[in-house]
Amino acid sequence: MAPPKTPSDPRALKRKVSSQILELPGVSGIGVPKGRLTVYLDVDSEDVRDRVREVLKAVSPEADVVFMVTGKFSKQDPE
Amino acid sequence: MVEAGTLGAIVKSGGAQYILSNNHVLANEDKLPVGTAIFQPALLDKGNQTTDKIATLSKTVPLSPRGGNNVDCAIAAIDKTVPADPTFLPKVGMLATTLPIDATDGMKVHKVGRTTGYTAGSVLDISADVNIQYDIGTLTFQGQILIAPDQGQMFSDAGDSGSLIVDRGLGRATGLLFGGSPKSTIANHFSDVLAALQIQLAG
Repeated sequence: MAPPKTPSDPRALKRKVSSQILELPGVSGIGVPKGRLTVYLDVDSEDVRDRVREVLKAVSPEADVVFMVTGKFSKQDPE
Repeated sequence: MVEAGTLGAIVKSGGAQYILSNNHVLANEDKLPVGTAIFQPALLDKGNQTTDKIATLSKTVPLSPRGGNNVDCAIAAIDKTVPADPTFLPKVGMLATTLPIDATDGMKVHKVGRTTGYTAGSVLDISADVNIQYDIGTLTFQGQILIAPDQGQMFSDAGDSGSLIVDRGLGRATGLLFGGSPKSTIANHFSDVLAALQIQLAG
């Protein structure tokens, strides 16, 4: 029996995993800048990176991901 | 009203003119009703409640704590006695047209905002799904513009919410700033804002 098809297009992969990835503590976002699946982080953490890789591995074992530390996002109201 | 932010643009709908900003700036995250008085300067910025009323909250796009947001925007009808130039942004200059342009990877952009004033940066991502911290909780927005500052500066900071993001090359509006971090800025696609509120840029 053939293995289930997994999305190889980074945009399709992002659509598939976005909600799961955004639920992980320490993740601020997910996108596809310059066609590469990128996960934005509150702070740099190997633990968070591993959790993201675990989610991706379950969906698309060959998926390539880039991490970028953006900091935590908030509305930009004055203090 | 205790919020403060940036008046992004003058827009029109059905012959009336409105100021455009964020829901969280004009309506305090859906807490303020239609009809609320809007002041410039904001009361937080020592505006005078007797003399500085410029508009009345008219319409908001509700924020959803359960996800699925794609815009944070609201409009307020400009008082008839208040003069407004709909196409000129200080330092950014005249908009080339009232038609927006879709953001693209690497697009050079600029804005003028209440806190950081004039800044320039580049579009890093045009389809970012992001978690944004609000008073009502962490809200998820899908398909947003992510902007990185030019070297040596922040593109935006607290109080710049509502700023219009403009394409530096073509002078056309492309985004509405509403969130960010010290390293990055998040904006709604401007075409989504216009569609959600059923408005056009005035010109």
